[in-house]
Amino acid sequence: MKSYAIKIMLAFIFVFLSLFLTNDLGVIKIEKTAIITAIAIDQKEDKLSVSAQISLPKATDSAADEDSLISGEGKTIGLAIDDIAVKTGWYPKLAFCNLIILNKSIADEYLFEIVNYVLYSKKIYDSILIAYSDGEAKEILKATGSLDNVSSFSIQKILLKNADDANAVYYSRVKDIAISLTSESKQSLIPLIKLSQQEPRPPATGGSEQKPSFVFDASTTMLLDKGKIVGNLNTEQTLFYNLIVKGVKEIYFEVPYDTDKTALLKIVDSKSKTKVKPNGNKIDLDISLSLNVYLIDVKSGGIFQTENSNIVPEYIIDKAEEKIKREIQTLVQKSVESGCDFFEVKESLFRYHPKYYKKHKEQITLQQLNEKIKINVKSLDKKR
Amino acid sequence: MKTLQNKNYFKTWQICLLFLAVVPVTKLVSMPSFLTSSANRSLWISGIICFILDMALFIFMALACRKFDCTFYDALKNTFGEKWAKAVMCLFALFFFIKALYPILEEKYFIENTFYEEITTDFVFYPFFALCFYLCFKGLKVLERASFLLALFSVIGVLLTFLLTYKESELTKLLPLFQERPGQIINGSLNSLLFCGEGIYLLFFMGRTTPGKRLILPLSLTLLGGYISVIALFVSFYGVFGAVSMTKIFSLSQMSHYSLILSNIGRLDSLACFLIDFARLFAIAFPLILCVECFRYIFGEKLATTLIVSGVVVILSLIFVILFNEKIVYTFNLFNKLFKYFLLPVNFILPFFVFTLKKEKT
Repeated sequence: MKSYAIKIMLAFIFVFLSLFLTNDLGVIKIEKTAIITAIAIDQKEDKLSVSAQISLPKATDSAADEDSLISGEGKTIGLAIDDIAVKTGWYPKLAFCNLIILNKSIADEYLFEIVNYVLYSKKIYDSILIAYSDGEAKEILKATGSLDNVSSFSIQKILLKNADDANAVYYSRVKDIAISLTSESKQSLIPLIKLSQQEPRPPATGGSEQKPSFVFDASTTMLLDKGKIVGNLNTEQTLFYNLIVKGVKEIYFEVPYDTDKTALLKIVDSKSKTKVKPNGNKIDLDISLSLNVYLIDVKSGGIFQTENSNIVPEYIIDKAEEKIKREIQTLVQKSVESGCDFFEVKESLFRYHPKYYKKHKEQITLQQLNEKIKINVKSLDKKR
Repeated sequence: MKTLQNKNYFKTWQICLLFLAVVPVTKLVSMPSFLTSSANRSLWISGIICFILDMALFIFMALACRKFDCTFYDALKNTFGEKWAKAVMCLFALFFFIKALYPILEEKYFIENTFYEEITTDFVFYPFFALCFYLCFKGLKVLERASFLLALFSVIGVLLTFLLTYKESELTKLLPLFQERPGQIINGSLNSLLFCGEGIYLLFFMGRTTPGKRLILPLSLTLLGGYISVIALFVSFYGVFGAVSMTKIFSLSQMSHYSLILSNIGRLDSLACFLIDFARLFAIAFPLILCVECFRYIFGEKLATTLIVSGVVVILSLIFVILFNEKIVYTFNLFNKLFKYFLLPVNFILPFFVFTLKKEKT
């Protein structure tokens, strides 16, 4: 009996070894596999054109160019991706794809379809970032960024890296869009990527002409209501919106005071609270924001002066509070005018005042908003 | 012949650790998604109802373990005679076999979609059946020996998943509370009981626990910790996905995917999945082990018989996986129907009749 057991054990060991050590059972061979890092979606005639940026693991760090893009066309995004397989004989793996860039001009028509595809597809994660492009989405992927040779990596660095610390840009994932589209507010915010060309560096002695390098500007945020673009937030508005919706660290902003003087303040810590409550015919939107700031520099008559102390004088604090309050009022106004409920007023009413919301659901409009803004800027006492 | 009663006793801490390892992990893959599809944002209430039933079953079965110093089979034999005892064992063997099938399919689907980025061949999952065969052949003693390691993996995996998830989770998504109709919540619980009812496993620990040792309190406290962590993960899961939760069938791997930490330090979430999945392999094989255990009572403890029975049970489950490949939602619905008429009574009602059995032959 014992010899039987040994034979069975040996047979098992053999089967296991052949299963796991053959290295040919569907495990990705990273050295041979091309990885898609981002996709750009444009329209070509009446079809969707999906361009996939491919990153081939190489020993050298080469720049991305047009050759690293493969395009497919189709009536739907799924068909366009399938078309890549038909053209190349290689079925793209989207598991490493972290960015979708959608041409702004076709966004209203195709956003739902793209979100749906990502949400239900097993090939792609819904933690993927989504951004709009000002022009052709493909052009963004073709551009070589200053932060990384691969444009999509540059954009990811801008949108995601140290997102807790630097919040001058708003980032959005497909999952967030799907959740917001199914919420009561039906609002979404998606960053807009703009390209600005930098001067090419002079070629090194004997070297070839350098390719132009681009900077990706993602500080503008598009506002969407029910998946359709209804407006945008500029750089400053994006920054203040981020201050309200998430606690941020390390943001710089200028506060003009006197006639020709400007102070540069650094926000090191922020706490915000937004509360929505019905009040008769009005809906109160209470926004309270507490900031801890340092004084970095003062610009006086066109010349920056470095202050001896980081303590912000009281009169600059007053001006800062005024400025922030003004900016937030502008944001509320923007929400009312555009119809994009980016303060999630309806969703908040549904969550915290469900009886009121059920009763007045059809009548609730953003015009009823009555903002009450409380700003508390505090200077941190720190000597240089 | 060596009888089952003479086998080594299971220590209380081993039983506690074993159930701490296997109970929470079976509830972390598709259960939250199915709960949400019935109970929506009240998934945690449905979950709590499930766990109260589960806990009650555990406590009563632990009581039975304390009451009886003979095995479940011996108690049956003492009461009804050998033939009827074998018939009941046949029923339990069938129950455990059916109970094991859906989790195996779920596991296959989960592994293929989580750990493999390419379209995988079915072959990738087949080694699991070899492991299953080994575990069935060796019996409950293997689980006892592995209990500490399994519990360690399970606890670290759950904690890591929670740490990666909580920051991304917005708990206010669960508001307003109690908005779903009671029918929806009860329906959610009923539909998810398929993932529960591990308390019945304790029937086969009867007469094998250390005599004189208290089991109820340590087991209850251990399981309470496990259930609280599962409910915390359910809440986090809804906090991450909100209204789209029902589309996320593999909550375990999907919920920890959004942590910003991952963009800087890499796929730490996969490590949590691996740890939990290791414990899951044993948890999923558990009912099959008990199925073979039932046949051991029926056919006696011969090595060749156990080998053949283990082989047949494993091959049948493999055939099931081949037949129902990829049809996870269809299979879930099918098993839910079957659950109401067969699995539910056997799992949650029949065990209580154990208290009517006799300790000694009259």
